[in-house]
Amino acid sequence: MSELSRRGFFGLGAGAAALAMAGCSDFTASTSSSGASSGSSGGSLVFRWWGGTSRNEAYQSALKVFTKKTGIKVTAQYSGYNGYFDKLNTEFAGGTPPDVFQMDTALTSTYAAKGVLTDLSTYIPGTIQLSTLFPALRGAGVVKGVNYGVASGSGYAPVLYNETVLNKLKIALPENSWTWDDFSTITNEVAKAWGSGKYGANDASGDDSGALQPWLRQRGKDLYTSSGELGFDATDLGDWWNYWAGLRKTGACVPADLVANYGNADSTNPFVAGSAALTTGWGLAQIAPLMTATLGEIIVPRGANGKTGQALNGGVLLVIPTKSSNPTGAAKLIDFFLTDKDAIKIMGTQRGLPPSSLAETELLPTLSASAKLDVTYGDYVNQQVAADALADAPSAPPGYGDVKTALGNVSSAVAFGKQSVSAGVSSFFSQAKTILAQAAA
Amino acid sequence: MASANTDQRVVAPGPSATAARIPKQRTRKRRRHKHNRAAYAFLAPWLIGLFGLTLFPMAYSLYLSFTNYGLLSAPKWIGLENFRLLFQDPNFWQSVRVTFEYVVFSVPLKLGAALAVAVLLNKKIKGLGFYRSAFYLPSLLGASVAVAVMWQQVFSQQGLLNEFLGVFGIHGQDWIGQPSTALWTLILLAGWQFGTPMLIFLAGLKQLPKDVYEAASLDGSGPLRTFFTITLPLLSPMIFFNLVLETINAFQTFTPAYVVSNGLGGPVGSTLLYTLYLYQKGFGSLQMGYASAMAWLLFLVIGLFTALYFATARKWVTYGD
Repeated sequence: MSELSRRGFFGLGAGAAALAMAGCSDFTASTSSSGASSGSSGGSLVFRWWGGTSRNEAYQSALKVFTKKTGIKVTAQYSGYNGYFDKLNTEFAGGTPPDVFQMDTALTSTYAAKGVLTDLSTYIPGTIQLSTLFPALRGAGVVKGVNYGVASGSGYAPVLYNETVLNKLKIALPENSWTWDDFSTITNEVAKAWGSGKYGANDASGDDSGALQPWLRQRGKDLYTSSGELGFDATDLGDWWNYWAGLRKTGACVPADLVANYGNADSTNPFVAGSAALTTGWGLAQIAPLMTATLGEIIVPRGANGKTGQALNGGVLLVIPTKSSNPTGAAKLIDFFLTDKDAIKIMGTQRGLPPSSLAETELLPTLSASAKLDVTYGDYVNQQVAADALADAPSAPPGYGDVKTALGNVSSAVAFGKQSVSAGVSSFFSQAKTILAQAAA
Repeated sequence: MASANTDQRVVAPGPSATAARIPKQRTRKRRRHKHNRAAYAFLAPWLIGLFGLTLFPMAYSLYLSFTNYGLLSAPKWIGLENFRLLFQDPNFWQSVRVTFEYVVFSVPLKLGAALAVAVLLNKKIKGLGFYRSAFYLPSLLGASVAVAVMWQQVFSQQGLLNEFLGVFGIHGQDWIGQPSTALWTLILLAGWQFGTPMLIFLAGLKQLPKDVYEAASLDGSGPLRTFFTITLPLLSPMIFFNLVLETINAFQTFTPAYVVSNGLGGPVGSTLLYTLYLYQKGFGSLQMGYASAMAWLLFLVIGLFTALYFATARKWVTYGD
């Protein structure tokens, strides 16, 4: 599940078991409370999301408040990420999608291209108030100038490190100014000092948003161009994979058979299991509860030019299908999560860092230590990104999900030595081009 | 296995019957129609199922296989384009390779295990009912997700198998994480679920005539020779039946690969069974036309294999009469 990094960062978290079985076990629970104060029925809604246990619980308590305040009954449907979009696709095909659902930012364009999402402009600002939403996040749900979704959280994927282990091995903690060369040095030191079966870092050679994207942006490239083509070339990818091949050879990163476990938020993840000391692609708030060791959080290594290359992402979005039976109610729900203080408090950082100035003032005093560290880190990266002075990352084109899968598959094949770096590079580019051409057709 | 001759020949009607033949036939016909109507009424649920849930979807998927159908918009006719793309798709060929490897190894393994256990259970031993149930149990759990999840635990890095090997000082690997062994764990899983063919073999063994065995033992034939010259040939119809069914089943295997690889068919496509790739294409990538084309190719290949079995059956299947 290595392709889950970005989502993982936003608290998809909670258990590969839930993920693995999502296809067969999703839960439907009605959280409507019939004793709504208004008495008059505001209609009903079907709301679908994916998430781990804690996010599910937060959503459900928030929905109870929503029903109380608006009289709109909400049927809650939730599962893990695996199989989530498969099921959704089937329902779209049958003409019965949920009335409002949680969307992966990177897949918005895929669905927008099919014409199945509602243009939210008719509800803004009448029903949905975006005024407190951070300006950087307002474009998260926009495809070709049309706004289809509202961001629920924000963030930058950091590097996490196991402070307990680094201290024990007497290896200096990474510093904010560190580069990819430093990353290589530190992980090699860890591998040498820590002994057999232990590694410096998780293998991020297939992690597109947590590692490859910042690395590309540091070189003035990106994952995609604004016209929806690949934003990097064979040399870039070859250099990237050669960098990781070097780490793999010396045991600085985990061996090939553990690459795929990188996407799991459980003990099969080498970082969580305590056999790798650093990892990209995960937020502290999601991983910290799973481990007893003290964890640290730091910006992704910089390029030689000092740039961080980080790109802000909008966490998960809430969107309304065109076939929604209650689009007005759905728009109210979107606004509720954005502007209602109770909802903001209940949801906390379950869907990423506070996305609005309102959420930030409401949440900061009450956050847990690791969530607070996440927020401080987010503030720091915000400044650094401004200093980068790089263009915003173009949004992912239709076909994004399949390209991501192809990247994961080929980097795994390269890691196993089934393909040479150069053969892998050409295989990836031919697959990605076919996918993007088909998705655009 | 035919019993004594109890046939009763139909006696031809005498000449006196010819006069009343025509009107009688009519009433009989009408009555038969009425009978038929009742029969169709009883068959209706099944017929509705056959047409509504099997034949119509099949015909529709045949149509879809010639279209570009993204699930969310109307299908667009593109002729043979899907098939042309299929044959250029490296993942398609990977899934074909993996599936053939799976079928070629899992079917004989499963049938061999089924036959071996059936022969053992055919002995007169105490607690036979218990053993029979115990051996059948894995198949009851059959294609269930729980078993596949358990399999994942057994063969993972910290799994049961490596714990066991550790006792002997052998340092095991992550059997599911390695492309060279991942498919073999699935083949082993299939082999372990031999219950259904075992029951069929057992039923067959119980039917074998005792006198042939008595004659063989009088002639001094040992157990091995008896097995190969008497049991196997007499059992060949059962073997044929199981072979056909299990081959079809193996081609259609989906659940274990989906669960064990978290739906990805990894590592490095080593567990990308054909149906799993079909599912990824249809529901993940929204290419239902493409997936339909794949489904029809699979249908043709399974048909081809079944036809091949039937064609060779004359040479090795003996019906004991």
